[in-house]
Amino acid sequence: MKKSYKFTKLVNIGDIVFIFICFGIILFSFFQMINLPRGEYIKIEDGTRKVFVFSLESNVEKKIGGPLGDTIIVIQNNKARIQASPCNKKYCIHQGWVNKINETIVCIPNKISLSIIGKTPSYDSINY
Amino acid sequence: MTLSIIKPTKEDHQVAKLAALATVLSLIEFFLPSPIPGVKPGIANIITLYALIKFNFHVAFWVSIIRVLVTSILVGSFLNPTFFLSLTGALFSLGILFLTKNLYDKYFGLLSLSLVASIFHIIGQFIIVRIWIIPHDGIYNLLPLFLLSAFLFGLVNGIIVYRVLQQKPSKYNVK
Repeated sequence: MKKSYKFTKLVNIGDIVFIFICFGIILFSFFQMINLPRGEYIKIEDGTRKVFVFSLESNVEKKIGGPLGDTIIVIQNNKARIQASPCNKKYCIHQGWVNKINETIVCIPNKISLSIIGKTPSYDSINY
Repeated sequence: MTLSIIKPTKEDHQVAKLAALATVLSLIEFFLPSPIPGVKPGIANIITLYALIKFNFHVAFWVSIIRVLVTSILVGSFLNPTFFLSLTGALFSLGILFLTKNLYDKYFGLLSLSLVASIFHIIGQFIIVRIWIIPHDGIYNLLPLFLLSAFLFGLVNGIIVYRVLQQKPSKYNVK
């Protein structure tokens, strides 16, 4: 199996086609990332494994109690966010609005997590 | 008792030299700071491509695998997740090079060779990360960024390999 290449030219016709195809796929993947499918429901879990499910179309302001105090979750215009939280770093508030499937906001100090789910529940992880 | 003496062939010497070069490049890359974790230029793959073009697939395969093993032992990440990531990346890019190696020179040139290797490198790593390390769909949001970096560095590496192949052997070259 002795095979050696010549490669006298840097760019062939096929290369240009291939580069454009690759670039197209990358642009498409960026586009797909922006347009992820929107979720239908929001699932909120607190530290005691209590689960609340709301539709994203509802306009709800929900207070959920955690070990530090009350976290206020707002659902509005098909989006959800954490409006107020008693935790120190406020990462959960800075994450802002979420509305795409599998997007999650987690507040670890107050043991509250919310995630967006679609019409049919999808797997969040599969392990063997 | 009979002594069995392993006689290294000429190809073994070529593999050893190229693997040493690739290991050094890999180590240099390890110490380079990278703006985003995971985005690396992959300069050691220049040697793999060079081995594939100058010699054959067999040499390129062993250069790549030895490079991954030796670098991981030197850096101290042998059998770590990092090691399995780089091994998977190397195996995926070698696999796609094996499948497509007869197409080059006829239809495609060096740039496609380099691009296809780097893109399959990142795809293989992504599959491992998705199955094993971070089993969550959220990492797909990183895929466009990594594909873009693989695209850019693949192009750059292809151009470098072309320039290396154009070099005439210098008079200091020890045979």
